[in-house]
Amino acid sequence: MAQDKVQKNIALRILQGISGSTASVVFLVTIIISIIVHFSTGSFFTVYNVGTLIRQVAFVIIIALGQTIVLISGGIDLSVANIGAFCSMVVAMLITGTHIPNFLAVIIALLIGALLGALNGLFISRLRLSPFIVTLATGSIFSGIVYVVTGGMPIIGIPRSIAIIGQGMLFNAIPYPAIIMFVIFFIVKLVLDRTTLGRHVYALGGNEQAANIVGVRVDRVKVMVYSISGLLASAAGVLMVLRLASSQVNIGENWLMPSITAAILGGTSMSGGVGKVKGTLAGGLLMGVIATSITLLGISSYWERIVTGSVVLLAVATDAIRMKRSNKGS
Amino acid sequence: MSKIILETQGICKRFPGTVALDDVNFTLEEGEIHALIGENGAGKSTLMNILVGIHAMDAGEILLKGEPMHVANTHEALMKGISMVPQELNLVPALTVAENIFIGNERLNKQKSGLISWKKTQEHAQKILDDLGMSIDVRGIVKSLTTHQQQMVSIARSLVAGAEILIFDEPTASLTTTESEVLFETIFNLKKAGKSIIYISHHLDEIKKVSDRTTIMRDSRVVHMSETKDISIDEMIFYMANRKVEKTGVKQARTEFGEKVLEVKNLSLYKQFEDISFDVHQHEILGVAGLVGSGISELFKSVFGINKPDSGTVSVRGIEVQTGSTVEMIKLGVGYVPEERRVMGIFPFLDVAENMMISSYDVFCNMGLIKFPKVYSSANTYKEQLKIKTSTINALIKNLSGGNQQKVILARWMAKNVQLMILDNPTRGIDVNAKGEIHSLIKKLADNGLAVVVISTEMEEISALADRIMVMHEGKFKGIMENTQSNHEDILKTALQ
Repeated sequence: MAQDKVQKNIALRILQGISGSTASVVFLVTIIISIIVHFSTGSFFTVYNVGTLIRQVAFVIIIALGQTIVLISGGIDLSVANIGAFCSMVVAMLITGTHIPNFLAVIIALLIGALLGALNGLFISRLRLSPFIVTLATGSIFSGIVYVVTGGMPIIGIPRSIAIIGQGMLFNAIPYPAIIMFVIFFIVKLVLDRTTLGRHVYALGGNEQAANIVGVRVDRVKVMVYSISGLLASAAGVLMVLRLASSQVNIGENWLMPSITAAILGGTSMSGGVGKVKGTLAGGLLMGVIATSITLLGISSYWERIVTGSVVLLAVATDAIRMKRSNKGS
Repeated sequence: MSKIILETQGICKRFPGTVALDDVNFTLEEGEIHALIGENGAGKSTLMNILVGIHAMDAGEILLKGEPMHVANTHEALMKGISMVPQELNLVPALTVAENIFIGNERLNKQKSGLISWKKTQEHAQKILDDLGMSIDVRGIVKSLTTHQQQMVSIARSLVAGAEILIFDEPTASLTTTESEVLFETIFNLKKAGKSIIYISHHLDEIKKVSDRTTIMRDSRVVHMSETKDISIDEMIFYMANRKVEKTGVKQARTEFGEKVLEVKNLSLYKQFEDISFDVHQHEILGVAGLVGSGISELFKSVFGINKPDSGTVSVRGIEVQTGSTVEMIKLGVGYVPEERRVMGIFPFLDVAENMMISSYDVFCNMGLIKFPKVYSSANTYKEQLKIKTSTINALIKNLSGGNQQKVILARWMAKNVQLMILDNPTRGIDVNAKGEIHSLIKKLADNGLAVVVISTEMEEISALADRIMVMHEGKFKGIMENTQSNHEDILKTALQ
């Protein structure tokens, strides 16, 4: 018995030694899976496969970065996918239906995304409503508007000149959406780690009452957090329109749950105050790798959800055990 | 002479850094109402918590009807017939009165089929409440009841659970005078029904009215026990207060202060405090004394902007503040150290340095980015200066002891360079050494020109720190006096009556 425990301790310590953070563990697992799949299929680490993979996950990771900020602040944003869809419709209508320059259309769509997010934030902070309920409701409204306005029909005719941003690749290898995703990642990381707003987000999520006492403008921070989430959701939506060269009503359909999953896989806490965007990046990549591996291994894609679900359970269980141990230790 | 139902012999209890109970002997007779009084921190609550199994004693014995008793938790205590009617009521707000009364004892109202009969539950609950002399609709939701009615539901629940000994801890703290009268009637009825009652209160006139015998505690010991009719209120105060003030010493009070920093005029908040005016100056430590429920904590939460007062004004250095905004107060140079450190003071997931500097980041910003090396070096300076015990300033604050956490919170406002600090029970739950260090730090801050408000329920702390002492009772201003050794009994009297 005692020996069992010692062995377990050593195993855990090794795991902690190489990890330090949840993000690095998840990243490590991602690499290991990739290598195993590469050796069993011979086709994982190809320019084409890796390029496709990171383009696929870029959209969800952009959304998930916003979701991470919201989760750290102690809230949740269930409207991200719908804001994405709303803004994809807006940008498509502006590009195909008006004469304004394309870049202006994109900026307007992004601003509208931020504005819709701010609306969430205002309801949540001023009226002290639950973020879950507010964003559930507004999300439903936004997506409803998309169906009403478009009648469920796609908007086509995005010119190649701008669609290149969604479709093209740098050096024929790195898709532009992936580059944009990495740029956003570094900006969000900088904001969270190095700005007063970012640190106040952590303070707010960790202890809202104390945040008020130390002079965090709680309401303002909440509005900012949901605006950023809306802005990033909009960015993903716009990018998807450029990728498809058209706007579809079902854009973003599969973004919401993966955005939360990526954040949680990366160690972000659902109860606020804890989380890192590099974890979210690693979490998003892991989900992409699982999906790609299942395809490469020729397993039915229905299995993807089962595997992802199991990985999430495993990840949070490991975290909970670690948490319990560190609490006991102190 | 009726027989003894409960007896404690030589109970001792230590907490890290303090002795909470020292050789405590206490007896409760069957069918009596026994008052237990003493200042905050005298050991009353610890003793009761041991009786109901919340704390374990280090030494001593409890005899229940002559038999040694061991209880590990409140449930076991209840099984043995001991029940606490708590200050903060522990009912389920969203359920009905009848459901609350039978929580945990639903089986008493089962049908033959094994399902709960709601009709039976309601009739049963109604009968119990009728016997208590309360007319409450048993189908009503507990949330919508007054505190007084909730208390009655709580008592009914204890009775259903088979309580023989009921402990009332400050039962009248949030009741009106009429409601208190009804409660006393209920307590007399319980006594008539043969229940034994321990009654804890700060209201000595109530004690005189209600109890048969009185036990007085001071400094973790029982110092007096007699029939209540044989002791006057003045004598009670004497036993409660006559004490360690000489031991810790009274501050040599300052009488000349600097400029006026804080001025509060006619501040009121419904049901919390009424028409309070006072001011605080540079170099001054204003002690604010009052008991739990006196409204002092609520008053200063409103002064600092955590709550918004209904009326009245708050001015800082002559500038009238928009009430209800902590951000405004901090801008004007006011800091606040809350009473409940873990709930309102610290950010458990952030490290020591961030907990210290979170209010001051704007100073360390360059082009919108925080320069963390500067933040850390500043934090290290305070760590050295205040002798904060932590391996590194990058350790999570939750791993520090209470005293060190409190020093971090004090450093937070020193770093912010505030002109006025409001401290609510700054050393509660902190060991003796750290307490001394924090006291000298507070005095040093005042010497350096800060205006300081120290709210405390411990008279000892007030007398060790304050220049002037403001007393509040039940939300009302009772006066400001100088801190001299001779007037401690007066202060206690003012606070108690």
